Amino acid sequence: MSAAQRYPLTIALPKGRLHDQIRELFARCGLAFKFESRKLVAEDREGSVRLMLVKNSDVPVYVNHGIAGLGVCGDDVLYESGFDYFRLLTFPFGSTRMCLAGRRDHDPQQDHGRLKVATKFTRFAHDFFHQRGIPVEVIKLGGSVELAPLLGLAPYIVDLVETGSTLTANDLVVNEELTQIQVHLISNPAYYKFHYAQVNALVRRLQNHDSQGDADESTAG
Amino acid sequence: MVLNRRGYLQIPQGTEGFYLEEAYRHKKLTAEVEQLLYLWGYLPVQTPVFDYYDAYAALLSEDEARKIYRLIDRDGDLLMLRSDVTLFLAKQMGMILRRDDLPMRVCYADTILRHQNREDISKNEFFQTGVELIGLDTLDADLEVILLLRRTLQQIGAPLYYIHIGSRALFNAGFDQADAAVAARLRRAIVLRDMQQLSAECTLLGISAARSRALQQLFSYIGDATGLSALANSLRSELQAAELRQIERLQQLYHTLNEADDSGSYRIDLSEIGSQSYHTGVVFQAYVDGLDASVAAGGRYDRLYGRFGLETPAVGFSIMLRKLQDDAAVDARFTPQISEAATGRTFVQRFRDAEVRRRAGGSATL
Repeated sequence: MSAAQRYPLTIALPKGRLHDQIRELFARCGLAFKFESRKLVAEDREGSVRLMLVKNSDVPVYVNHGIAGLGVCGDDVLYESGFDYFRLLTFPFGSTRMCLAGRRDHDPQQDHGRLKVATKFTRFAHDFFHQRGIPVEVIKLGGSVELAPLLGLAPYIVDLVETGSTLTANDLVVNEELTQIQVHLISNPAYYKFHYAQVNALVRRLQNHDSQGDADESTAG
Repeated sequence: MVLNRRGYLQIPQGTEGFYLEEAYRHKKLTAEVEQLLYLWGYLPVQTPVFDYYDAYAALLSEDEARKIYRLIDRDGDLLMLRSDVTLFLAKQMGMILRRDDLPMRVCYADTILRHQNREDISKNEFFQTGVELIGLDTLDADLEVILLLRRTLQQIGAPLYYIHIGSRALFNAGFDQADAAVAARLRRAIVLRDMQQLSAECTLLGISAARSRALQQLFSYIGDATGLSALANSLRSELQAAELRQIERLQQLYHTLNEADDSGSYRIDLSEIGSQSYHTGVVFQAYVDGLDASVAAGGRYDRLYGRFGLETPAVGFSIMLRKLQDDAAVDARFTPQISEAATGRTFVQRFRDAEVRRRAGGSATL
């Protein structure tokens, strides 16, 4: 065993909707793990991976600082972090859409060529519209973004849309799909460089055992 | 006047202060590295803290330009603070060196000042120690500088590390038809190992699908010379003669490095293509176990000095010692001695006791 293979690979996992799917995929790969009650760190039985359960938006932070060498993270969170990572693998689950949405009865003529949007994704919203040459006023919200048009904070929101049922329930409609959001296995670049053989082996393992058979190796390893 | 105490207590982004034991470790570490560099024949140089911005503007990428601090002097000239020692050194050396001074070996240990994100401040990129070998464009010069980096890491007791070696010349040979903007996008795709983006850029350049796949495989390669040889053979029909020449040069470099030093510290990594716009040939970075970014970077820049009036090649590296000094293995070697209080009833007795202790190599306070 080489010096670089002495330690388990460290992976930051997001709490929430992706957790069960990731755990199932890892189990199919022979990397079953379970977080004991209230514990936020777990290891698989063979000691190949050490997993840390963190808040979704904190995954890039742990990876950027090398506390976790790898992480599971969506494009939305990656973009907001502003850091550079290697995207090693795109998972076949967790896809969603980043959309511009507004009230069903809103008249775009009232916008006078400029947008006012409320969003959690301020960096994305700012860059997206500026790259199109559209002036935009971005209001940062921490959650319940759908309320903003209803209460008059902003006529539009930029948010993730899966089924659209939350929008419909709040009398909102999708005005435009801005981009597709996918979930990736990411790596801190320096961590990947040091442990590249071990990381590539993990990526191959995850690809080979994916039941959908369509996990996509987005970057060569 | 009521002072905004909190505001004055903060330090602006892009600089730092360090004190006491931490400063001691830093100075000892730097001194030990400098001593090593002197033994290899490198002489110290000190570059100015700021210089005219216009002298360097064309050499800065968009990202680098965003990070530098600029100021205006009393005559209205735009200045920039030293953000990269190599750039400032090239101008200084370009002005003072004569052709018969070459080759010249110089080393430096200087602060650099550039903006860092608040979240990125732990990267500790405020102080560069490094070398430049000016006036030689040979493989031997590349070997000397890479071996000196390895020797430096060894000297300071760095833990496990690898030096990843690639080539900007290989990139330039592969994408000689790309203009500056496209080349920058291609470099970013390769550095981030984003092969989807590289494929898209290849399509825009009109590169065939087969050659695009070959370039993706090539520029994502990490391994040894044998693996590279096998890869190059399998891709031979899609690679150009200039690319194959650069691959052979890297293989030769790798073989000689391992012959000179069998530590197993070297890897060929073709996604290393140099972070600076002025790189032209071999490039490399050192990665240390447990650190979140590379600790050293270097490479060849054969046209940089020409921008400042001295047409001569150069190769060098810089190492961020501050990243390393907190490592436990390094820390243990550079911890200050515990000072003992001298004993004696009078000041003179204490002074004499302290002198005895100091002559024996101890540290004593009066």
